[in-house]
Parts: sequence; C-alpha cells; structure tokens
Amino acid sequence: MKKTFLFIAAGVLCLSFLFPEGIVFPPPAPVAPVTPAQPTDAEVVRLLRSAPAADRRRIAGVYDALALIITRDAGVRINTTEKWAEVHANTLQLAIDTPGKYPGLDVAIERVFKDSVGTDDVLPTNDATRQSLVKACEIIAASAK
Amino acid sequence: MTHEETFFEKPYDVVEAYNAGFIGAYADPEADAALQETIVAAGGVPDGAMACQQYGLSASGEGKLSLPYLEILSLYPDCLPGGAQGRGDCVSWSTRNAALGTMCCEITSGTPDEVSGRLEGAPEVSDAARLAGVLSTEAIYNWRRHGGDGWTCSAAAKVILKESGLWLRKKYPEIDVDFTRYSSRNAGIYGRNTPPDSWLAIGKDHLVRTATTVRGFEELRDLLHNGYCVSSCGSEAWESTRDENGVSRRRGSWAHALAYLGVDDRDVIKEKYNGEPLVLVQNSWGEWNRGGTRVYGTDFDIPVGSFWATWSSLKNRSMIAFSGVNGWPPKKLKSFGALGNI
Repeated sequence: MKKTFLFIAAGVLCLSFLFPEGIVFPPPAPVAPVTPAQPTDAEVVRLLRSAPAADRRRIAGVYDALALIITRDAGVRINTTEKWAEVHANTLQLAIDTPGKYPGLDVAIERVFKDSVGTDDVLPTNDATRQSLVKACEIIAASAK
Repeated sequence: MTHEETFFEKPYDVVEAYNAGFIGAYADPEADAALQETIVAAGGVPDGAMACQQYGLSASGEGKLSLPYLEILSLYPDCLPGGAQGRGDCVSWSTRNAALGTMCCEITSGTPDEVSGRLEGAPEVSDAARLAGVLSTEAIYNWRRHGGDGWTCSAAAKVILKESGLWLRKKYPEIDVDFTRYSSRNAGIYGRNTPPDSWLAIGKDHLVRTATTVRGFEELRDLLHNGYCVSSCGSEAWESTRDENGVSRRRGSWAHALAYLGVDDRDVIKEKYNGEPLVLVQNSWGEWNRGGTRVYGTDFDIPVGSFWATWSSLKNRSMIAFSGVNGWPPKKLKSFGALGNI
C-alpha cells in the first residue's frame, strides 16, 4: 500500500517537472452546429442559380410565409387545395414584380406542389394535405436560398 | 297526407298552413318496416345505437359541439336553407338537407368512399343551383307514390337508398326537366305513377349507401359528430323567435319534416338549458324565423331558417341518419397557383 502511494507521489513529482506551469488544455474550438439540410428541388435551384440575391430572398420569404400561413390557418379558411391555389396565386401577384423573369420557374414550382400533394384533384386540406403543401413551400424556399 | 296537391305562393302561407294543421309529414309503420328491410338488405345496421357501437362511434361526440352544417357551407356558401318549400313536400326537403350534410362531410373528411375506394369531390353547380340548395328535392318527391301532398321520412329515405339518390340542381335534357331552381310544380310531375326508367337511370347514379334509425340522444349526438346528418318527421312545433343563443322554445304542432345539422353537448350549454343538450334544426320555410344566430362561445352563425332545440323537445320524432353517398369524382385543379404568376 505504501509503495502504491510512493509511485503516485513520484508520478505527480515527475509531471510537475515536465509541466512546470501545469497541464494546459487548448482553448475549446467552437463546433459549428449541424443543421440538417432542407430538401431542395434541383430544377428550382438551377433556375434561380444566377438570380440576384434580392430575388432569391424575396422568393424564399414568400414561400416561408405561405408555409406559416397554411399551418396557422389549420384548414379554417384554406379548406381545400383549390382555396390554397387561390391564396398562392394572389400572393404571388402581389409579391412578384416581374412574372416570367425566370422562364420555367412557375412550371417547376407547380411540379413541386404536385409531387408533394400527389394529385391535382381538389382535396380538402386535412392534416395530411396541409403537411404536403407546407413541405412543398419549404422545398421551394430552401431551393431559393 | 292530402289527396290533392297543395301549393303555397309565399313562405308565410307555408307557415300558416302548417300552423293550421296541414299534414306535410305523417307516420307509416309499414314504410318504417320497409326501410328497415332495405337497410338490412344494403348491409347496413338499422338501429342507430348498434351502428354507433359497431363502427366505434359511441361517445365520440360526448361533451362536444358538432356542427356538420359548417362543412356544407364551406363547400357551398349560402346554400342553406336553399329557398322555401312551395307545397307539402317538407319530407323531401329534410331528406335532401340531411343527405347534403352527409355528402359534404364525407367530401371534407378526405376519406375515400367506403365502396368505390376513390376520393370524392364536391360537384360543381351554378350559383343559382347553389342558392337553391345544391341538390334537388323534386327528384325525391316525385317518388312519393300518391297524387296529393305529404309523405313519410322512412319512405323518402328508402327512395334515396334505392331509386332516386342525389340529383344536382341543373338541367337534365335526357328527361327534359330543369332542376336548377326549386319548382313546386316540378316536384309533382309524377305522383300516383312513379317516374319512368329514364328517371331511375339518373337517380341510381348517386344513391345514398345506407341509413340508420335514431332513437336516443347519445346515438344522435355521435352520428352527427361523425358527419351523418339526420332527417326527422313528427308533430312538434317551435316558436319563430330564437333567444340570444339561437334557441327556440317548443310551441304548438306541425305535421312536418325537419333536418338536424348540428348538436351541442357542451357542459356550458347544458348548464344554461336545464341540463339539456341542443340539436340544430334546419327548416325548409326560407327566412321564417328571427333572433340570435351566434353559436354560443364561437364565431359561427347558424344557417338562415334554422334554430336550436332542446333534446327533450324533439326526442319523440322519427329520426333517420344517412351514411355514405355514392358521390362525384374530385374536381381537378387547373393550377396550384404558381402558373403565370412567378
């Protein structure tokens, strides 16, 4: 038992000679938080690749806002996908200064919605449909960012 | 039942006639028994309480406010009451209103049709047709099988299950009839003689799948909560005034048919009305009553011509709930809203 304590004491003494100012750990390097990448749509990304940052911000902002609106509405006012289409069209007419500036973007966005909802039948906006519309908005917003 | 046709020119005349004892609806045990047989033959459950138990609906509406009429108005704004009856055809109106409620609830629920498995859509109708109640009452009433006026709820229910289901309000060139707007004359093209095969062919396109008879409040509440609206026949009458919550008190007697399109089983309501839940009654007399329209504690108004009644004031009526409808294919979107706008 005495020998064990002797070894530990000798070890501590050696360390004190080797590191006279104590063992210094390097300062912590901040690790960038990992955020899962939002899914994007390759065609929308391609069409907006050369767009000015202001245009991309505008489009992303519009679709982020639409996602929020349809979520908060919870099917009260926007109770069918037909009503959704009307809200969507009216919003774009107010928000977008030059429709057609990026040829093919409207068709690409339509496809994102159809892929997400799975049909172009008019559907009631129940939870599943609403989630599909929100998902499509998020994909378009992420593709514009 | 009257043996001669009776027409009313104005809604006031209808109210006056029913108040004076006009018979628009009557009981017929034979028709009740025939309906039970039809329900069983269609694979349905004729007893409402048993149907609730079998389909797991029991107690689903307990303590809740259930407003299936909102589903009707969400698809077809201002379609209720759809005008006013112009003859003793109240039974076809209550049947139409209940079937319309069930149809709209089925569409807005987004669940596929139980038989075809397809998702159904809200059929498009003209503005005139929407304001006249979307579906024809006349196509049902022509099957009453007598030449006068008045009918039974169970016989009308059997007709929409077997012979003449839901007809959209529009022109039917194949039978040379325009059902776009309500016409009391068109409701009596046939009477003692039933409509011909050309009518039957159209009528069978959108039959109601099945029905169930309702006796107790719990089953009524649970069926309405699940979107199965109700047609009722009886001799009860109510005041033409509503209190601040839209409730009318029972007074007098009408031999009349009325649809039920909502139920309020909330404790707060039962505290206000001597422990009684309320049932929302849709009448077919146009704008015949007045008073409060706001549903207590909500931002919703009840439809024109409707009123809340306490359960005890209507518990003795004969009640039939309609289940699934063989509906219409969904409408297609022309665009999700982006085309040409970005």
